[in-house]
Amino acid sequence: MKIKDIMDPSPNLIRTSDTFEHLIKILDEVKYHVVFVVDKEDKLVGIVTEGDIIKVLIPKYIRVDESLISVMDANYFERKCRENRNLTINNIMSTTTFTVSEEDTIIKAAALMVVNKIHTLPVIRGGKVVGIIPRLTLIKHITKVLSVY
Amino acid sequence: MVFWIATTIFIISYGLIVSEKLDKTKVALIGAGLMMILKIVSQHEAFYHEKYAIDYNVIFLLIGMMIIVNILSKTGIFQFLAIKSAKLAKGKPFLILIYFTCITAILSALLDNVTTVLLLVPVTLFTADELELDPFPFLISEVMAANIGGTATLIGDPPNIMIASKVQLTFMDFIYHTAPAVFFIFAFFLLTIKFLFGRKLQVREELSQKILAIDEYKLIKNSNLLKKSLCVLGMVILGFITHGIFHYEPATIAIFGAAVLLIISKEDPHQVLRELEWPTLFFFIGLFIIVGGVVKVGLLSKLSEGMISLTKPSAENMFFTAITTLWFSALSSAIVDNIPFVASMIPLVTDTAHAVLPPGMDVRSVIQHSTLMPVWWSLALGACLGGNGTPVGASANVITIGLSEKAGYPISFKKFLVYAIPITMETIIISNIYIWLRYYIFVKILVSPQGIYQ
Repeated sequence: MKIKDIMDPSPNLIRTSDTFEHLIKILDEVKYHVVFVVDKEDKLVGIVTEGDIIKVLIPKYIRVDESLISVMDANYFERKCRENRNLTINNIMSTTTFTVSEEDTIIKAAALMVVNKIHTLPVIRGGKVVGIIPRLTLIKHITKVLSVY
Repeated sequence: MVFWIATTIFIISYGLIVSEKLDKTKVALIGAGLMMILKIVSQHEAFYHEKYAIDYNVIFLLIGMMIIVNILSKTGIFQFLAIKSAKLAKGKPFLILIYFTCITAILSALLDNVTTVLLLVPVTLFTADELELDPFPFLISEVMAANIGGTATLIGDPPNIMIASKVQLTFMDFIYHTAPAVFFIFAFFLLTIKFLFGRKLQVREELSQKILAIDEYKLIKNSNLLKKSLCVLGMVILGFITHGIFHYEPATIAIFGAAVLLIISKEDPHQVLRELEWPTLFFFIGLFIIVGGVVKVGLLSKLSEGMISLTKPSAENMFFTAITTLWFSALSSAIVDNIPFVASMIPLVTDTAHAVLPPGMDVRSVIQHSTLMPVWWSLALGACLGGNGTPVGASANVITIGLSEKAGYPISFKKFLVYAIPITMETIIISNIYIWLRYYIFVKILVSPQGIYQ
C-alpha cells in the first residue's frame, strides 16, 4: 500500500511570518499537535512540534549546566511566554524536515520515523504539503491489516 | 637533507595547525610519527632524551590537575561562588561584573582557564538573564580575566607550565615574577571595564531583589565531595608553594593529589579519566616530538642566530631580546595557538643563551642566568596575555564564544576584536613597563651586580 491510501489529507499549516501567539491559538484546534511551516509560495520550510514550543521558553544555558534549574525564578516560564508573544515562527520551527510523497510506500514512512526518531511526516507534492502521516495513522493501519488477515 | 626534512615537517605541521583545516591533535601526532619513522629522532630520543623528548612533567601536571578539577567541578562550587558573589554585590550589575571577573581570574590562576569559563559562563548567562541584561560585558570581561589570571601562576596556563618545566622554575618563582605583573595588569583591566561598561549596567531595583532571593546553597550538589575536593586542592596548592623547598616536581604533587582525591572521593576512575582532555594531552605529546626533531637538526639554533643579530643580546644585557620576545609572543599567541609557539620558543631562547653567555657553564646556570630571566618572564607574559587578542587566541575564548552562541547570544569576530585588541595592547604595554622597571631600572638600584639569581 502507498502513503496516499492512509494519509490524512488535511494538515495544519502556518506561515514563517506568523507569531508565537497565533501558533498557540491554532494549536488548540489541530488534531496532531504538529503544524507544518510554509513560505509565501506555500512551500514547506519547517515543522513546529510541542517540543519546539517548550524549547523557546527554556533558557539555552540550561543545556550546558542543568544545575541552574534549581535556582531559576519561579515565574520564569510565564515571563518568557509573555516576552515571546510576538516571536515569529521562523525563530521557533525546526528546519530539518523529513518528507514522503503520496506514491511512497508505508514502510518508507515507518522506517523514516524509527531511524530519525520522529513522530510525524509531511506528505509532499511539488514542494507543497498535501497530507500528514502521524504515528497514530500507522498504528490504525496495523489494526486494519490484522483485522483483514 | 635531514635538516630540510625535519624543517618541512615542522613548517607543514605548524601551517596545518594554524589553518585549522585538520584537527590539531591529528596534525601533531602525524608530524611526530613522521619525525620518528624517518629517524630524525629515534623512539628512544623522543621518549627519554633530555633535550628532544616529550616533556612528561607538563603532561602529568596537566593530567593531575585535570583529574582534580574534573571532580571539583561536579560539586557545584563554581556556580555557588558566582551566585554568592552576586548576592554580596546586592544584585547591582556592575559590582556583579567586577566580582565575576575577580572570581574568574583567581580560579584561572589556580585551575585551568577552560574549566573555569566552562563552568562560569552558564551561571553568568543565567545572572544576566535574571537581570534582563545583555551578557556580553560579563562574558568578554570574564574571558579576558581568565587569560590574565592564568598568567599569574605556574599552573595557570600551559605556556607557564612548559617554561617552568624546561627552565626548572618553581611555583614561587612565578608568584614573585609574573604574579606582580598580573596584579598591576588586572588593576588596570578593572578600571578599563569600569570605563567601558560602568554606565551601561543599570537595572531596576526589583531585578536586583530577584538575585538576592536566590538560594545559592541549592547549587551545591555534593557537600561531602566538596569538602574532600577543597581539602585536596588546598594541599596540592600548598605542595606547589613549597615544592622548591622539598625538591618535588609540580607533576609529582598534582598526580599524587589526583590519586588521593580519586580514592577518598570514591568517584569511578573510568568515568573521571574518560572525561579528561585527551586530545589536548596528545597534542602536547605530538608537538614535543616535532619540536624535539627540529631542535636536534639545529633549526632552532639557526633561528636563534637570527634572534641574536636582530636583538643584539649580550651576557650583561638582554633588554631588547626580552622586549622583542614579549611583543612577538603576544602577537603570535593572538594569531596561533600559544602551545606550539612556546614549545618552539623555549629551545630558541635556550640556544640564544648558550650562544651569548660565556662557555663552560652548566645547563642550569645558563637557562637560569640573571640576564636571561627577564626573557623567560617576557615569554610567559606575552604568550599568556597575547591569547586575549583574538577569538581564536586561547581555548577559553573559543569555549566562551561557543557557549554564548549556543545560548542564543552570538559574539561576532569583529565585536570580540573591538574589545580584545585594546585590552590586549594595554596588558602588553603594562607588561613592557613592568619588565623594564623591575629588571632594568629597579634591579640596578636594589640588587648587587652579581645579579638576582646567582
